[in-house]
Amino acid sequence: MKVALKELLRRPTRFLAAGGALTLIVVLLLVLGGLLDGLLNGSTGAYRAQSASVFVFSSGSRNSLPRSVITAEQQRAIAGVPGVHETSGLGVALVAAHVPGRTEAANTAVFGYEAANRSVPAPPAVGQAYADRSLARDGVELGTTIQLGNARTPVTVIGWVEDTNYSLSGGVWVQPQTWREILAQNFPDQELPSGAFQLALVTPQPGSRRRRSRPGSSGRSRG
Amino acid sequence: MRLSLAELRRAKLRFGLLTGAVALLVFLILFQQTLASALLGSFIGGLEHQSATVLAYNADARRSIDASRVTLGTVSQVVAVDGVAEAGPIGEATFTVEAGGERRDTTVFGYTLNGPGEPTTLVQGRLPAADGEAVASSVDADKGYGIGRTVTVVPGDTPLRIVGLAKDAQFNVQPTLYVSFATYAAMTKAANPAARAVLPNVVGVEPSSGVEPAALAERITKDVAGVEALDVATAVSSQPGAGSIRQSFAIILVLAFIVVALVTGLFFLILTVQKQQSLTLLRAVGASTPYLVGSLAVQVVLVMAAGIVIASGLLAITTSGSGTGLEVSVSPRLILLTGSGVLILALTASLAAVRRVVRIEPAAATARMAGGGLA
Repeated sequence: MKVALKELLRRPTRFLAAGGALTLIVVLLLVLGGLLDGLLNGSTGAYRAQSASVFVFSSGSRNSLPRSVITAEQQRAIAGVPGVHETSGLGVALVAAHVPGRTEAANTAVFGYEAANRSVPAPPAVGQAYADRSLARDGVELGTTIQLGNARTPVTVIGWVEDTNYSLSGGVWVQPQTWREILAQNFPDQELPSGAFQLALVTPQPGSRRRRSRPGSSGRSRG
Repeated sequence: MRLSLAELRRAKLRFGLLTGAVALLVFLILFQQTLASALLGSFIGGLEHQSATVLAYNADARRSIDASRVTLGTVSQVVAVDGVAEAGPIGEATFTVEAGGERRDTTVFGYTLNGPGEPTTLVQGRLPAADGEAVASSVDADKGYGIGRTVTVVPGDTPLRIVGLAKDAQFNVQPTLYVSFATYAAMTKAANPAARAVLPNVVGVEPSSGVEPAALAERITKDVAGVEALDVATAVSSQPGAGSIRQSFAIILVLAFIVVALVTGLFFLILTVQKQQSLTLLRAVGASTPYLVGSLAVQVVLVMAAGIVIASGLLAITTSGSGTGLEVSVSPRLILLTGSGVLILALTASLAAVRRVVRIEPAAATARMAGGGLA
């Protein structure tokens, strides 16, 4: 050990190049790993935040949230499946958020949701929202009223939530009615029937097995 | 030359290992660039290879075609702008499409037939002439999107008959179809009967003769409220995600180039240090400095050239067997440019070894006992 250290101290330049090369290779690997983690976390936070262990999409949607439609009737049918303890609806709209004092709009994923999950408390009152802390980088603060989408729907941020982003956009969690309005105003082609959501979140009764559910919808367990 | 070749023959394992390391690193650089180019092509190709040279987005869409919706009133307003020869609605969305017995995520572009937005890289068949016909991305022909095949959009069961194939036409890295705007609207309605209206995502614009697309885009943005118009090159490069992909790959590329330079430079420096006594003796018996430096340079060039050739072979093998669904192809220009860059970097990095050779003092041979000196 002493010999090794002495040699390193006596000839630092000789070891510098080798150390530099190894450092760069490590940096290269870390950059790749970091990039992958960033992409994955920024796209899946909203799913990982859910406490429900089964997600139900409509069967033609190929498990794509914006393409899925779960009608109120289907949700009731899902709730009636043996082994289902609890269900709730979730939907998303990807829109720009205009932050006061900022010229550049922020990318947001506005979620309409019915029940609290691991990261987000129960839905706030109409006109209020929980925002992912990553939106602080875009100038959002507690108490800020941001305007969402073309119709500039105003919502006031009343609390921060962590790691709830989707599709690399900052998560904004609102009442289902607010989300429905935003979806209809910005994307009339994606407007949903009354009471419908894009995803049904299912909590099974303890001890029940997670399997595919009803025709017309496809169940996926979290994994 | 003779000296460098003799040394290469004598220390085959040593130089073989270095050549192998260089080959793998160059392969990494080549493969990474090929993949980046294919990924970007599949990500934005559909938008890049359509006929509208100016695209007018909703100003709130942050230049994302997926997030943009414009009204038909906006289309009329754009048509009225001075310098616009032709303008029409372009719709874009991802649908679930059953093709070849499998359901796949498929991007669909809807445009006014014979108007702005039609694919420009048709390689087989013809453009759609009626509703219900489609041009597909050629790379997906064997997935059930070949000419003459009928694919079905689900839900809604809207059938589409493939009448043509276009090269480099994928969008969002998935099979892509071009159909009439009426077909697109019908598909959207069938997939979501609750849809209140089917709006175009952007307005596709063709400038009048002599009008620059970038200048026209500026004029449209100024004249039509709530619209941001971009020439197609800007639209393609600002498509969300494209910049991040380009930037991330660039960082990895720069690091890989530096690693190649360091590995090569370090190897030749260590080699020079190890054979310093022999080099001193050679200088003492009359070998000139340019001769020894030349031998070193020849070795660098030979090792790098062999590494580049092996890496190119590996690239050809890898890309021919890649089942990624991307339009991956080996570019001789890329190999030439990367090879030249790597070679120049390696020669530059070997300057440290050259410096050692230049500083050899022939008289030092007399001071080395191992060399028969009097020390």
